[in-house]
Amino acid sequence: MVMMLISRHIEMKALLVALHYTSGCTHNWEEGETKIATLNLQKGIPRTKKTTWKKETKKNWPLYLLCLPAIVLVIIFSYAPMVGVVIAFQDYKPWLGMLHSNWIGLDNFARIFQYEESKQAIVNTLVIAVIKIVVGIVVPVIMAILLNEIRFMGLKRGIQTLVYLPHFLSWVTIAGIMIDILSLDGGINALLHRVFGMEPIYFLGDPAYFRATVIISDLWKNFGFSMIVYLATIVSIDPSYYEAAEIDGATRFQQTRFVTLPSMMPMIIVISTLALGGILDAGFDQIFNLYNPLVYSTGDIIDTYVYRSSLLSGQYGFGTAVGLFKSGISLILIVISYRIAYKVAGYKIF
Amino acid sequence: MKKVKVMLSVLSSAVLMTGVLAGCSSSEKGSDGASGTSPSGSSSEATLKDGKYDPPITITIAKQQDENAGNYLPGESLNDNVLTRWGANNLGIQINTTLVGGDAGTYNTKLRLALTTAEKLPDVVPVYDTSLVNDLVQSGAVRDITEDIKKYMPDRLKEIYSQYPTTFNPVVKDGKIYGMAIAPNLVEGEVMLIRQDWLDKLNLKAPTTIDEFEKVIAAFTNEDPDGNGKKDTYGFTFSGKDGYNTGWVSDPIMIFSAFTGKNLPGAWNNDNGQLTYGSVAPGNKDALAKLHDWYTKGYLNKDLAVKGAWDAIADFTEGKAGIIIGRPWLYGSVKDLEKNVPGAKIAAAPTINGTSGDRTYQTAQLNDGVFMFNKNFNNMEAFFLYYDKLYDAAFGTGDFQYGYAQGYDYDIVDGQVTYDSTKFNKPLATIQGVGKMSFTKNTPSVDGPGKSFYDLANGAEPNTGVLIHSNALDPTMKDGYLISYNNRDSLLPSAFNGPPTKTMQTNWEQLYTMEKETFTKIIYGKESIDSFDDFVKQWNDKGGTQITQEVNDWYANASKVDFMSAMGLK
Repeated sequence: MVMMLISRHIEMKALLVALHYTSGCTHNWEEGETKIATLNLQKGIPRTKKTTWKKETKKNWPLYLLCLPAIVLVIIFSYAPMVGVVIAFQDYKPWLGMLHSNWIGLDNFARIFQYEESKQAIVNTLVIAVIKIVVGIVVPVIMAILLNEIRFMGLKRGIQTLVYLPHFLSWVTIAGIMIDILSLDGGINALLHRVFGMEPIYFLGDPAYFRATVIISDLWKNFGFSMIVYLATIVSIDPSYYEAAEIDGATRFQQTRFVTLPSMMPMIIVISTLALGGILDAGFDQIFNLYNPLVYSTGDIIDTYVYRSSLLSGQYGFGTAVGLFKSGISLILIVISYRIAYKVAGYKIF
Repeated sequence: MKKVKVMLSVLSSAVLMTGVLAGCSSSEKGSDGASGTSPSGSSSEATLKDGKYDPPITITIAKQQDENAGNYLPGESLNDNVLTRWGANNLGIQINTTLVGGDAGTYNTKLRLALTTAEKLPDVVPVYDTSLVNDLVQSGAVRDITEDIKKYMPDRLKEIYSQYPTTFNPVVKDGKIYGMAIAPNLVEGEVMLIRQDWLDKLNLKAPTTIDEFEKVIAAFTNEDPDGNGKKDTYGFTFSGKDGYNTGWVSDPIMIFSAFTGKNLPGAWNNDNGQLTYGSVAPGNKDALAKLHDWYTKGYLNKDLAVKGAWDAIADFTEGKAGIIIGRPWLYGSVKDLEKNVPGAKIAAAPTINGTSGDRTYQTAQLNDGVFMFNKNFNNMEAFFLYYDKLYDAAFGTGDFQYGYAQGYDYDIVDGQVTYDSTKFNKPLATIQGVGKMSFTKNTPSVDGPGKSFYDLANGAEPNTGVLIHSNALDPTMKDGYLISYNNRDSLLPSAFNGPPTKTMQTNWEQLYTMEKETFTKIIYGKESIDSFDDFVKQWNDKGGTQITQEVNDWYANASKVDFMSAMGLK
């Protein structure tokens, strides 16, 4: 019982420390302990509106000025081009432009759901993307924790560099290598045969294995990057919490469970919330370089389908409609996950 | 202290802002510059005197600069090279490339963007994509060249174009001609490259029928032709990733045609005025059954579904596969085998005959892309002057009797013309593709599917540039071209080459995806052979019937209009 209380205490403190690091504002420990949910940036800003806003501007205008270039860039490159989404509702012809192309209402959107192939592509996209997101969070977190336990600095750095390296290779290169080593008489199958006496598996040509191949290779390529982010979070945990835990008699595993993991939680939430926005991105580069007619049934994703059916023939209206559809879904998911993150963990990103 | 901070922040944001603004203004300047250097409107004042424009004029062009054409000697570049200098000095015509795209996708996208009002379309635009050709015709941004061809096209070019009336199909609209094929020429067909040393060892001959072919690939698979005591060879490699009719290398089209005759997968066949799609012809089922049988017996490339056309070559080059199909030049890409594997010898052989005793057919290529012209370009005479000169190398006339530039794509060493760049007076690593440095992506040719090789085989003296060039090739490649020429009747252009029809635009991708999936799955045995019947039914139901109707309507219209006489090409 006492043990549990202690661990609770540690957990709370660790969470607060993490919040301290990520939100970047100072707060009162005692107050924070009782009302975690109210902890956010707004606390630092005075309530009374007009006068303080003026005062604020007067005081900090150089800082606002510093923000200006970034704001201008965002407006020019992110907001202004958004006008272009109108072509999702048009039978867009480049020579007529956005102003004179025919309006066709939601026809482009209807086309997304019209064909079996596109429905199949949506399902494939969701399955591949969701699994990618889940393993893309679980594996790096575990690896970061394990790596953090290594005391021998050289080995730690070495592993870190090695797992990070594939992140810099392009999919074209990796796909070339994969097609070779995963072929029916390639290296992997030869190994499986010699060690386990298995029949050759057609990793890239069997619909049952294609998704797994895609997901594992994506993990291999990219987990090093997220792992480094998590490692940085772990390193920034205040050592005094571990000291306190040790004095309270927590074992190594308990320290991980009650100090390290809770401290990483905010970062995990940030990354998973942002990742949810990409739920309809199953990785065009990767699939495009690896797929073939045998695995369309499980491997054809929205992006590859749209590429084949509309971008190659310049049907920009349809392409934009799909893009808009994807953005819409992403927006909804981000809002929902953000709310959940706030409710469950009391954490606000924005 | 605070003042310093303020100053610093003002300064840094000012610097950043200039960066942003500079980015904008410089790009504006870029596009201004591009259109500024193309005074095609004013060029009409220049007059043609003794074959040269004075004052010089500029023609702006678009160019798909793929990796084969992108090598220039040090100091030379896209807009300043041996050919552009020649044009400026001898014709008074400066070629200025204002729109460049690397691969086909980028190039097409850039051209589509040039259709928006903000951009200016170059004077001469080579287009390699039929739906883009259609867009350009519809946009009204390109010139009707019916009269220009009649008036300005030199006679020897008129003669060439009058041989290929169907190449105008994609660019005709309401009887007007909005472009012309780029250097039309019946391109060489595919031949079989086979391991002669394996044949000799197993006491076999190059196959001529499907049964003989089966016997040969079975022997190549089971009888250890490389004699290493391991079962590590197989008969026939081809690619199934991008359909079964690539038309250049690694396709099994000959096997399909053995059962379907003139109905070739992926192409439209003209059956007595009725156009039908080759992939749904009944014979395909037997062809697929055969390929499936061979696949299960290990005669074929196990990974054919994941290998693109170019990847499927590797097994042949490494000495694992015994037969590959490709255009005669493929020998140049696989001949390393003869160096790497001791005793290996490659021979070229004709494609086999069909089950009905008839020959097997292939899809012919008549041209790669079409020229289109900016609506406001009014110097077609200058274009034809230049274009005709580019044909000099093919005809062996004028300045370009042996090639375009001595020391670039040919040289004369000790009185002998040579095309081997390593033997030049100033040796080069690779030959310079001078013929590709202006409008054309490939050097224009009038050699058909290998006429010069036929002439050489019949004792012609190698005295023209083309003959010397052909004569200097590897013997196996020469054999290949000769076979290709003798076999030229097997080359069938697809009967449909108009713009994508209405239903094609929306449904074709689904149908083609289904086709690739079904064919590959049948070969792999993932679906039964009878699923082909189901595929044909679905193909028809999901738009195929409609498309066939539209294609036939197009054909009826296209054959009605006599645009050839309007251009004076009859």
